[in-house]
Amino acid sequence: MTLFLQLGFQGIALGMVYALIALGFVIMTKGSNTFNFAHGEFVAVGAYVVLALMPHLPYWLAFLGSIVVTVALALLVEATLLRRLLDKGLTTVVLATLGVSIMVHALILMVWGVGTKGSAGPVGSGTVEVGGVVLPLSGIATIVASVIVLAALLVFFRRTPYGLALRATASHQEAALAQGIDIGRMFALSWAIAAVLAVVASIFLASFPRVVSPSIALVALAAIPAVVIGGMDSLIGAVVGGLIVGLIQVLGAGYLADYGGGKLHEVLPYVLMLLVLVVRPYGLFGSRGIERV
Amino acid sequence: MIRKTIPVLAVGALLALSACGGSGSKASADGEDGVEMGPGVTDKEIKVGLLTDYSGPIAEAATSGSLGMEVKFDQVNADGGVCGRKIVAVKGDTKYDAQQTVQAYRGMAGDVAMIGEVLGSLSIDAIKTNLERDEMPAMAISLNTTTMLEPNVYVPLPVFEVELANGVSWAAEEAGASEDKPLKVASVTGTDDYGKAYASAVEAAAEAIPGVEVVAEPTFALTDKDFTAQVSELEESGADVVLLGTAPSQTAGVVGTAAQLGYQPTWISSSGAWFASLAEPLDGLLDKFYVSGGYGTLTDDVPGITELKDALAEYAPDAAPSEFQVGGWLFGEATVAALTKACEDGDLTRDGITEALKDLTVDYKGITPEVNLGDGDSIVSYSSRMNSIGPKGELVPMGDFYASDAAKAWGEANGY
Repeated sequence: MTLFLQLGFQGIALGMVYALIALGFVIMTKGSNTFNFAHGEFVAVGAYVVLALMPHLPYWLAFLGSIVVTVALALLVEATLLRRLLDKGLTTVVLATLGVSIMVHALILMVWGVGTKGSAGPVGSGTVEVGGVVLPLSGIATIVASVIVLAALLVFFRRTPYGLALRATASHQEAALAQGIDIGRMFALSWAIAAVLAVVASIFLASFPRVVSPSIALVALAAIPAVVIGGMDSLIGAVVGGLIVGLIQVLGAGYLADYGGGKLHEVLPYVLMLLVLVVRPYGLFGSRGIERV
Repeated sequence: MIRKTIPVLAVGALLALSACGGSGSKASADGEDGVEMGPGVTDKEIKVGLLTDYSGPIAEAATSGSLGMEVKFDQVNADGGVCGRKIVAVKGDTKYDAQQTVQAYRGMAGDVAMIGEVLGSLSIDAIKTNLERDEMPAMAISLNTTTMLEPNVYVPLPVFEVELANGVSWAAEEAGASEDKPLKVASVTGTDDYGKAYASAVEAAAEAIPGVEVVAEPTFALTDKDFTAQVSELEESGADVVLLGTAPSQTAGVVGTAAQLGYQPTWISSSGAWFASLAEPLDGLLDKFYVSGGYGTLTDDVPGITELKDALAEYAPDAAPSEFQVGGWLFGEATVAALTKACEDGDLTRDGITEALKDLTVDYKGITPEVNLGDGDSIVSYSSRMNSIGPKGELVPMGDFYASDAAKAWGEANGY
């Protein structure tokens, strides 16, 4: 039982990181009708900037600095490239985000090199023990911060004028335009929120004992099954999808290691993703009829 | 008429080119000095392919290794090259990805005499049929028996399995293991064939040493981000010593997670599982961490290391020191030795270089004991050396190179 609880805690902590990344994908999809394949690189940029600022600033300022840089990058991409391509069709936009992903990755290699760096988490390697289960502080911080961010997002979308405007834009762009909502500003807002989420996810994805390296962007893309499972336009779905993927990976590594050559836990999220696509193409919590790429 | 003729001619030309073989493996001509020359060889230069990860997940180690090879070539070229020909490195970025490796190989295959290094078992798998078809001599910097057995592929250094088996032997000696004083060991390896080979070597070494017992063999998938399950299994087994058949990023995950869970065994890794930059995130956790390395370090006072340091100072003065530069330098030594012998035999074609590689003796000038490449399917050396970790992550030698009976017994049992 202790092992189950231990693995379950780690699975929830990893799942919350996936949830934060998945939320970024979902908000961009809802807000600007775009699936951004460069989102993983935004996560990587977030981690590298935090790490670069940490020696010079208090941690919270390094974190804020990273948000400023990553949001600026996201807005730059959104304004200079994607908004101009929206009338060219979804395929063109998605391919453009792939191109952006390659460019940002190259930029990261140019600035920070190919090497492995340290951890960028807000807490170190400490732990607390509860009933025989060891809870790493990094895992606790991940879960607490994720819950706070999710609550803030819910309040934003339900209680603030900008949140309501963003929901209206996601629901029906023409109708939102007729109501005087600045669609372009809503596109930018959705990208900015996704960038903030990318930075929050990045510091937990790079928390001890994980480290910052160029491949962190690829790790971030492991959140894609979470997006599909939960539903591409559902905030709750992103969270549930993230938790499902995290729990499958960690519990599977513990209990399914003797099956499928020890690789079952690696494949299962994708099997589940395919099953969801076949049985319920819009995801567990998604809206019927959403267009997929 | 013209509209129809041009496409037909174009297709015909393509077919003719295909029939000739894109890599030009059989094309040869005699040089001014009478040496027969194949693809990638002229009177002035010999092109050698370097297929490694310059921008992917293991680029940190790979670029250091590649630099070690390149400065070796620079040193040899400054002394006149190989039989008057400069060695030119043709670099291909595999990004540690099978498809990228195939593309990079195809891009250079017709233009190089041999592949001086291919990094990554995944990459070797991707191009092994191409290497055989093109009769391309190649050396694999993935030091394991699985790649060693591929046709045309040579591994000129002790394989990771030897390092791990010698590590088990060292741990048993340190602990004074015997039937009355048993030592519990475990391994952590990947789920792929290479991981299985590493685990098998640990098992065989444990079997050969009285009192040593393997109590756990957890595995990880290459995409794993959390190692709680593996560490929990290790802790549950009560293993005193854990052998790591991991890549550096997984080493950080396993050792860091173990520290968080309060499990502190003796860790012994192969040389491929450690990179100096891990010292920062694992600060304070490396007192019982050792690396079993098949070759020496930058701190050694031997002629080979002196030459390497001089070459780095001359040709790459801004490069940060890395132990992988030593590995790359040794591959450079083996490449130069093969080309020199082929040239002395008057045959710098791929067939000639392949012949030269057979039974080639390479003197590594003290960095690691001299090796003989044999038929390419044999382990070239059973020697390795234990190292502890210095404050900046550098390897600190703990004694001399040694070849354990356990490693030799494992090799003999498997026909290596």
